[in-house]
Amino acid sequence: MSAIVRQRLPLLIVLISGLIMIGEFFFNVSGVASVAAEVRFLAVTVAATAMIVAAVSVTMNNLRNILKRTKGQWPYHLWCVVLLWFWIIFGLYSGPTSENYLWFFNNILAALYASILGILVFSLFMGFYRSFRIRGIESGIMIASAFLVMLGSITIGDLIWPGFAPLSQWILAVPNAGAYRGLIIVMAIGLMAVAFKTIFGMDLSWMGILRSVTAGKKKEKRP
Amino acid sequence: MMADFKKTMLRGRNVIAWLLVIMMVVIYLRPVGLPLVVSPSVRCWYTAASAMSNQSKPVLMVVDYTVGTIPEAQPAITVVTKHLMERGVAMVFVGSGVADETSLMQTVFNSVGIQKTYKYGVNYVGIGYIPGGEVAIATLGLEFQHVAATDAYGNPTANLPLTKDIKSHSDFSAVFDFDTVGNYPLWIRNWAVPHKIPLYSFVDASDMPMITSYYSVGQVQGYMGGIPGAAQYEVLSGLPGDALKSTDVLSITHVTAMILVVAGNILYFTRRRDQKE
Repeated sequence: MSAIVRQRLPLLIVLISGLIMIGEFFFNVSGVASVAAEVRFLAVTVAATAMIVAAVSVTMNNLRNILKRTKGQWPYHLWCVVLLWFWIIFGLYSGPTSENYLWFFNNILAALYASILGILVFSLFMGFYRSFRIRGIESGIMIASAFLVMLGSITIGDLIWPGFAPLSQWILAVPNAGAYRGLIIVMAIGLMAVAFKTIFGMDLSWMGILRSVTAGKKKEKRP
Repeated sequence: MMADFKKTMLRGRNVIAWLLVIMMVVIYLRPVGLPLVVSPSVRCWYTAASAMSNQSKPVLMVVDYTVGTIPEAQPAITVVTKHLMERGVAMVFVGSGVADETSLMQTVFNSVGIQKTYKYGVNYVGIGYIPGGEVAIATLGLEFQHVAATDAYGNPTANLPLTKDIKSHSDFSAVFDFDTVGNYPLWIRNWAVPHKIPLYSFVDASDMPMITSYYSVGQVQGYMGGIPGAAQYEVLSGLPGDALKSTDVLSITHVTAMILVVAGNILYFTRRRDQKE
């Protein structure tokens, strides 16, 4: 495959799509809105198709291990492929809202998930018991605020002292919200920079190419 | 001394596990009935739902939770759906997080018995899961018929009486989001803030610190946090359910966790003092 098709074409598609979306959102350019809508529909369709790609990719990866007969592992890979295609075929045949599918869904999948999370509770409790130590001022503040928020969130907290709920709300709404908002704003600015670099082809990591631009020299390598 | 401390800790693990199991089972079977204090964020949601009627525009019910969080999220969506059914409010169900949401939506329909009092296509519609993440959420608000061309049962939405006139976000009175996959910021970004659609969101207890920062500035009009939030809604609406049954267990387990932290610290400081001596 030529470099044009492999690299330049995807870059061009990203550049055009990115400029269309920016043009529609920030500048209200006439005629761009309908094109932007088409780009969005295309994205939804691509996302739906990506699920097929994912199923095929999982199958291929597991098949490799099954064919190699990887010691102690291949039966699990086989089981994974069998289950994956069982759910796909069964889901396509009966539909995700059918009574039979829901029986399997609620009695196998939901029960398994609930069991796993149930076991996790015990690990969490052991974690509380063994690792929540007041080793300094910082850990002391963390444990104290955790206690206050916990007591403010549960019914028994109000019985002990009615002030726990307002205090917990204050911790969530003032110090916590302030720190979280700062984090979101910083993340958003970072994302803008990443988007800018991606749209204008300065970052090719999404294509599996690591490229650094330093002092006018371009270094390119495929991992 | 170190050996003694380790022995105490290890023995404690088994005792704690058994104590926890016994406490949870006993309290679940025989709830204490601890009084609930309703938080303002849940009251806001309840007030908004109570103000709706069969004349209101439909509510967009977002089923954005996973199979693993059914015990936490399902009581919330159940009580809100029942409350809206009492008021005769039309509902459109969608999912935007994971593909399981179509089955989860159907499970909700079956558990609340919506089919008995509501007519499909007229009073409620189940679109199911829509792939595409944030792009799909944004497009759903701009070109509803295009993204949700068919419902979960393959019926064209343009033929269903409830959805045939829905074109965009402005055809919904509110978004009620039941979220444990962390998608509520996407609804804030694409529906609540740019189009001023009231957004009410259920989140799991671990997401409460995050959603508070959106609630305090009015980007989320109301929220429920985990089982306690759903239990508060059950109290307000007079529709007791699974959340109320679980609140006592939750309270007692939280208190146990705090006692364990205190006990662990006492052991830790005792060990340190002994080592110094």
